Amino acid sequence: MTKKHIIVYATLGVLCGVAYPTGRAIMIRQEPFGYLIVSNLTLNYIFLFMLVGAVSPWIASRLPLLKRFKKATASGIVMLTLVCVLLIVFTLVGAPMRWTQ
Amino acid sequence: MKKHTVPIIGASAFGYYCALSAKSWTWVFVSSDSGDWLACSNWWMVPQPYGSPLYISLARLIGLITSGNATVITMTILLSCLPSAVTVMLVYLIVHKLTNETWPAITSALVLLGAGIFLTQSTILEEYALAICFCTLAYWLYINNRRMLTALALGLGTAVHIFILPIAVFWFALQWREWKPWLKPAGIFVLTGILPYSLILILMGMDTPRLLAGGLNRQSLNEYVFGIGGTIVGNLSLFEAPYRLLAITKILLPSLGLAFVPLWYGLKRPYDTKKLVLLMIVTVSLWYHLTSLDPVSWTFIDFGLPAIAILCGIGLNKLTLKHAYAAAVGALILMCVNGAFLNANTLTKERPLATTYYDELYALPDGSVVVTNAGAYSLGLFYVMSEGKDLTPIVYPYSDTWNFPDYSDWLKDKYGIVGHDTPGLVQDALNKGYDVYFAGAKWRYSKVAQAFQIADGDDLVREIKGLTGLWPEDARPVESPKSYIRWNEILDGLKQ
Repeated sequence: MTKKHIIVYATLGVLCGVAYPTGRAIMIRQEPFGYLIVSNLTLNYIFLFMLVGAVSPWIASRLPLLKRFKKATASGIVMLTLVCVLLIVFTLVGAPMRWTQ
Repeated sequence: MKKHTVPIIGASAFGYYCALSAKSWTWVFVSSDSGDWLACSNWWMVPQPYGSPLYISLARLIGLITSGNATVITMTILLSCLPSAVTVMLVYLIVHKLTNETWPAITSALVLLGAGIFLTQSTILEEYALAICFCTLAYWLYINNRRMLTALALGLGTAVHIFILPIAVFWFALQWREWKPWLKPAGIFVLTGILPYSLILILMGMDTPRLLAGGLNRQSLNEYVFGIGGTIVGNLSLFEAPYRLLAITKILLPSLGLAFVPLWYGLKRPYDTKKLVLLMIVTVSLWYHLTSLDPVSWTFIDFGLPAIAILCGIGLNKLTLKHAYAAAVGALILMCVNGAFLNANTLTKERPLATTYYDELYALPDGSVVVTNAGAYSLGLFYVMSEGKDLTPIVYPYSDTWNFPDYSDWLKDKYGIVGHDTPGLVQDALNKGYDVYFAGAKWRYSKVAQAFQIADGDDLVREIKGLTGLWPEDARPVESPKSYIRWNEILDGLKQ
């Protein structure tokens, strides 16, 4: 077991402790959950990941910064970046749309 | 592997789950479906889609032997605690078989025991534990090359919970390289997994309350099969994705804790078919919750947990023994913490909505009419009635779009109350001199009650005091914020 592993275990332990109260609240239904966006946007994640998966290799092959990596690694980097960007966009756009109390 | 290890693990797990299991009527804790299973097995009526024929048959059998709260406890122990303990035992056996090592196997079993998600479903009256047990048994038989028995176990799992069906389909699909030997087992699967669902057709034809399904006809079948599933599965808006991912993280972190490290190694290559089957089970269960409109569908992650525990064991086999110790200690801590904070019995006392509802229904005068919405409340009402309490149930759907086509007819035949909709039925009951009570989630019936009070102002229409509903009052969608309205206007503009 390396030092890196110990740091990861410690971080996981802390994260676990931090997430426990809210995780428990979700599980016992004491956290409000009645305000989901139930819009007509019925696109689902599969479509999203298909789209991201399809465009990532194409983008990766056109970015000079990623030339040093293998094709699969470069695509993976682009894919992760795209997913993160999309999640941030969805959070920003979706936040005001969510039902409020 | 030592001779006594497996029975010790099984017995310890069984004792752990029994000690933490709910000892009374607890349909509100974690799963309101418990009321459904109780009521449907007692009344022998059609349960929520898609039926779970094997589960309600076993529950019916238990109900015939026991009664009242004894049924709840017996069902919880025999159909939840026991199968979960067997699953923990199977996880140990599977990891031992795959790795030939004892510590990874013990740690995997502990990881599953410590998982909060698994614990919550193992200690209440629910169908998940039994279905997952059959699925894990199928995997044990699969790695032992017992194809027919694998298909049989998958079939029995499907007959308990429909969620095993997509898992079984993908399971068979992954065997495409050697598909011929799987033809006969596929037939066994259809016989044991699909055919039992014909019980639902039989129940539809019986003279039981026409609640979640109407009589045996095409329209009723259509509504039953496509009514609910079609509106929640895969329909989550993309804008909810970040919140759902965050919620999953919040649930999974305290469920797995330090086991994420061996899981990471377990997910690494090489991928053979055995490992792909595990990955498939995890993916299907996560996919369901990630795309489901129903936020309570986190319970479906439960289906993937034994596979996750097995993958942890595979990962530990690639690591030093110290990692197994670390993950085992983490799992033991989670077992203690969850035992204290997710103990079903304690939580029931902490939030006694179900027992309050039960007591208040019992306190009503005999012969009263109770008006309530479909779901846990109506099924709780049917359960109380099945115990002999003399009440008349007027149940109305969740929304205007969901219809109970034959319920009014059943009500008319059975109780002589006539009406085409809820206000009509209530009016007729009042005209006939019944005491009428509204019960259940207030905001769900407020429109009906309000409309009715405006109509005649009769204080005979009352609500059962002290109930605020399954959902906290402040969590209900009250009105849309301006930004939402503006967004809808923009979308409308784009459509035009």
